[in-house]
Amino acid sequence: MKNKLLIYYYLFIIGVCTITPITANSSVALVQEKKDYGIQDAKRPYTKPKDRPYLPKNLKAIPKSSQEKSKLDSVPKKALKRK
Amino acid sequence: MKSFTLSFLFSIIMSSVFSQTSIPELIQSGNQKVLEDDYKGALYFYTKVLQIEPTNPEALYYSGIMKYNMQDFMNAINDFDNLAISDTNNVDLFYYRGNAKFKMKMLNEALADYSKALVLDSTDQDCLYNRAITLYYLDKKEESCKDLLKLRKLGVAKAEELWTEQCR
Repeated sequence: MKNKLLIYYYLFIIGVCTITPITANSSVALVQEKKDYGIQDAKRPYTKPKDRPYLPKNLKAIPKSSQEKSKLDSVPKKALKRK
Repeated sequence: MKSFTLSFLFSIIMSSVFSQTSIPELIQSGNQKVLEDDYKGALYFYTKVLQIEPTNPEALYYSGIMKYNMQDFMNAINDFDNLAISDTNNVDLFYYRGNAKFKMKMLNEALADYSKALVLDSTDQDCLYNRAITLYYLDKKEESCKDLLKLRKLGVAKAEELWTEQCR
């Protein structure tokens, strides 16, 4: 009885050992570990708003819209109503 | 009693005068400590500035960076959040906050910050690279490859390497 159990046990181990690599291989694509890529974190000094090279573009954009708004504000509300 | 009130008022006026004039000096001292790689020492000076003027943009920015350098990412994000209230057009702020969020594995938030930075300055190569990495970790390979392709065209060697590994 004991020997029979041992044989079953060995058969089970052999089975597991043969099946595991096959299933592991098939799931490689699913569980593929991400490669470790680091981000860039170079030091950047503080730049005052007026010294930022990209800001003038934005600053131009803001007054334009506010100008349009102020123009709209100056138009009598009656004129904006649909006839 | 009168002399006491006068001296009290005098001390308040003097302290406010000194605190006003000392802000650039404190920032300068902090910057000096940064040059010596003494982040803790630098943070001491920036914190002093923030005690005098809690919304000082320069102190908030550098305080955030010092905390970032000391791996205190959550408090760094906190400083950058406070700065973002008044300084909405600062690419470097979004870059650093994105990096801090990336380190905290807050990938979607990091992605949003890099994208904000790139709206302000579409030529920022570091932000473009970091966004590509973040997209890669978020399994958005197609978008990641798009960013890497832009960097390849700009001749960024690191991006070339990554593109060859992930996109080709």
